[in-house]
Amino acid sequence: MFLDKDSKWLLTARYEQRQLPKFMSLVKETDQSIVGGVNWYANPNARLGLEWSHVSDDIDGPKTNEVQAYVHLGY
Amino acid sequence: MRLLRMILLVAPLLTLVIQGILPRPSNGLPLFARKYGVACTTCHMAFPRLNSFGMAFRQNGYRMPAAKGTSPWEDKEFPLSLVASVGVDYFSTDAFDSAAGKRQTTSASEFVQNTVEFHTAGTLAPEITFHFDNNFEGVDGPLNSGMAFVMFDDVAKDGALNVKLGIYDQEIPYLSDSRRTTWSHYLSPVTLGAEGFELNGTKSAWTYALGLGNSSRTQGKSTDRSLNRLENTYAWLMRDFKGQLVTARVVLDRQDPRDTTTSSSLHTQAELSAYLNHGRWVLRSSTRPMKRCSIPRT
Repeated sequence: MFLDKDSKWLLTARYEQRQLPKFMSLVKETDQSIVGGVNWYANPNARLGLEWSHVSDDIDGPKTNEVQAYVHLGY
Repeated sequence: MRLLRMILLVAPLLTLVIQGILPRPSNGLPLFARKYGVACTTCHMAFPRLNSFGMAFRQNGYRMPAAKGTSPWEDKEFPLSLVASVGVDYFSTDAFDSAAGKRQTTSASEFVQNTVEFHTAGTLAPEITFHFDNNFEGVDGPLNSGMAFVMFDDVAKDGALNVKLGIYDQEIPYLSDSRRTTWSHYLSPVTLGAEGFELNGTKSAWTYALGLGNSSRTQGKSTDRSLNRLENTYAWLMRDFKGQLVTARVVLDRQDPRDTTTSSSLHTQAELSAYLNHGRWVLRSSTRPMKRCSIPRT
């Protein structure tokens, strides 16, 4: 969702849950991903972003936290 | 090759950074906006996410409503767009360390060139659409081919039937991995690679696609002599309820068998998703159960 009337600031949040049955994994597994980010649009095709993401599962696998600051451009 | 890649990357990036800093009207930046002289926000709710007009423009073969399409040789400039992303990444992983016999946390940071993509797309002639793209992933990454398709538009009147051939992204218009507004990819594969052909179209408030493509199987029964067949199918149907979209999709994907007595495993994916929007916010929701069974083949 946009945080301002000029559509310069965009907030994105995402939650995903993936349940893997035995035929796709060695054991039944549930993975989850949480992502939150804010973008600032310098113009409609150039944005600066700051994002945090978390990925984990319920079988004692790796838990990953990631923060990325990035520039995304289209021309 | 490396010098050429650096020039291809740095020159447009510098131009874009300067354009981003200097005050200027916020319109006419990418390929289609330049061609049609419209603001980017005509098609994008927030770059690269499409709004409802952008989805209709894409469905209509990159043509404005009622337009037939022209050839690139008639236009003033070659239809080429660049999409690039660079960033600074910090990540920490908490995982079981077998040597220490307990979980341990490690962290690292790096500068990353997430992607550099080159797209050329538009119309080749009246009622013929094309899209080709290639991308580099990472500084030393190879040049990967992306989509390469041609679509024959308006086989039935007013876009009720179009025929797409080639390599393309099989995806629901509002649920696309390449047009997400986050850097992190979806956990579930919302965009599937397709090689084959697709019948698609729109009529009233309905939009549909029906496709048949090659599988990516590399194994089969020992007696199998042909693996790469047109054997994957998919279909989706989308309904527009006054700007709110609901889609059902079914994908039948044949994959490598788990044992040598069968030729392939059939993965069935059924999906129901919705695109709800109002003013400044958009909500996408999707659920997809999956089922697998083995297919013996004589």
